Amino acid sequence: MNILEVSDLRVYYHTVKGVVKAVDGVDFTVEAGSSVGLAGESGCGKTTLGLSFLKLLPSNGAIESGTLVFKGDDIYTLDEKDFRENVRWKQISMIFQGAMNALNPVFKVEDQIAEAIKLHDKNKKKKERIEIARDLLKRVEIDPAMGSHYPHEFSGGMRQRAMIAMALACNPQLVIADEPTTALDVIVQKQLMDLLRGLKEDMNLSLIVISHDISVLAELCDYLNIMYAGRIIEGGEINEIFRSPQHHYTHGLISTFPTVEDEERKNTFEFIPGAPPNLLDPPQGCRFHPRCQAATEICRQEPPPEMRRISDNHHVACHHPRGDLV
Amino acid sequence: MSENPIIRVRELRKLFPIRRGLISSLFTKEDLNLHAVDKVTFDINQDEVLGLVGESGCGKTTLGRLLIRLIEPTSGEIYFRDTNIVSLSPSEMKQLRPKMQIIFQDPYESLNPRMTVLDLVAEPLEVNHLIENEADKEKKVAEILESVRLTPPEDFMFRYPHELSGGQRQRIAVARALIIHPDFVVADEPVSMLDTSTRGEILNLMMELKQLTRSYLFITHELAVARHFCDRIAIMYLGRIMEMATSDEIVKNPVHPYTRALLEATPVPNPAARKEKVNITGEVTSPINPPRRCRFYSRCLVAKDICSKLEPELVDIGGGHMVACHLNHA
Repeated sequence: MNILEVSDLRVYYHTVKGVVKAVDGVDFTVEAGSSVGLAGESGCGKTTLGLSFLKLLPSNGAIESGTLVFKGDDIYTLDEKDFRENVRWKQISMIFQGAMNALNPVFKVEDQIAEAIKLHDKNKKKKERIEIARDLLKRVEIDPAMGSHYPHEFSGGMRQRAMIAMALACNPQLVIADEPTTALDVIVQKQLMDLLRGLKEDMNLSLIVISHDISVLAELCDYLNIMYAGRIIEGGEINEIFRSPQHHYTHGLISTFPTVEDEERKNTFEFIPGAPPNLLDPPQGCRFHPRCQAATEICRQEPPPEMRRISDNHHVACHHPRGDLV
Repeated sequence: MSENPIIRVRELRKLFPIRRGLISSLFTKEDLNLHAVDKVTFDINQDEVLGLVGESGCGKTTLGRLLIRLIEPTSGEIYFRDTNIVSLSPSEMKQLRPKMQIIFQDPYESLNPRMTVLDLVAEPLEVNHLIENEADKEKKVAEILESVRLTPPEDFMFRYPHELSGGQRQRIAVARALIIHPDFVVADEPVSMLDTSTRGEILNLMMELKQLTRSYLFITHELAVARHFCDRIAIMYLGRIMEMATSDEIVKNPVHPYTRALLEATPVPNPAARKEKVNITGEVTSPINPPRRCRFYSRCLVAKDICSKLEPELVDIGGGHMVACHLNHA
């Protein structure tokens, strides 16, 4: 069963320079209880896509069209009040990027977690809310007594744990983690990944993990979607994608990641020439064609390719998929 | 080990004093110091890339800046070839500067937004009076732009940094460092601000341009990058070098418990090879007046009694593999 089904979603930002099509026709599903990765480079629209599931877009951005279905119910057409009272945080919540700055420095950590509960569940008394907040801190392996401290007294890893506790405050079923480990040291990053994996099992959560770092997604996710210039260009079961990436961008992205476990030292590094396009004016045809070595006339001329099936668990949007080369 | 060192560092130390308010200074006489780099000794050989790997706040950037004397050490010696640069006067140091350059981490911050690419790249030449006239300047800048693949150079010379992508900016930073053919370059996290798809390009470029310079100190928090880019790797933790060996040796035979934890925690882009839960607790402790014991003691799972009493020295355990851990030579 799918807990989230998104189809043909378009999210545009209206800026002085023109319309930025940050998300431009995206289909996205999350199977209940699974962990889905969303990978892409900076500016590809991955954070915008995550925010749109919670309808938390900045004021100059809006969902232009598409459908958002959560557990069989259309949540796109809900008005803001309805959405806030019934969906946001109670069903779907988010761990925001940049834990260093995402907490309010002048409130105690437990009060900030309790605030999330208050906003979405008005019946609980203050004492009850603080108790829940302390339980949540325990869940994320922070001493509950630390709850009465301020964010500056927390280390980077602890702040990120507090952000996770906040996301869990109203017992959501789907949690979106936006770059949950970026800017943290590797050991702390690994501890957090272990924690997220454990929480997902214990609380029976579904997870969307957004990251530019595919090695983090490889550790955490069951499925992987690759986003490029506002579109998802490949998606499927994570082992299959890593074993046999079909899109030339996916293949490039995976091979640009150096690994410590290589037997031999490599003297040259893989890279994808060029830079991601400006979404004010994306290239005609396949958006990856200016950087793609396999591009032909059709890639330059035809509208961006539709997703096509490689197997039940693997789809790609490419005119010339790589085949089973790997 | 020291076949032909270009840089020799001996007992180098940098303490940053912590300023305190009146009240707290009344209650305690002890000075508070942040031990950013604490008695570090190592060599960088001619034509070698030494990787300096550590977590944020371990002192790796401070160490990089000390080596080219952008900041003054508290004590210790730094030899460039046979000259102790710590004792040089400012004017003597200035003469040596063209031989030592730095590539900074963030190309969005390190390039003056009001200067054209031509002026940015020519600045090191001008400072060191290495330009004869305007035509000479353009010729030299065009040459280096060609070698960092900003071609054709005329297209880039008169642009400003905001007109360039992150990867292009970092190539300008590389060109700036290498235009005067330094013998030694400190590269401080040169690719950490770049998108993963473009990092390889900068790393390859730096590798190729090793013929222009000779030796690099490559500072990074990513062991995976250092493993492939560097000849030798030094692992730093709270101001001290914990382990130092060839990059093959560090990855295949790590000895220090901290190095092992780092390797275990480094994610691998392969979902079929997921790792077990990491075996290390807590986070980096404070570098302010650290107690006289192994810096890793509070997080180490195999710590013994001696580790809490004595700070281990960095010693050679064979073949140039240096380790600072009591358990390997106690």
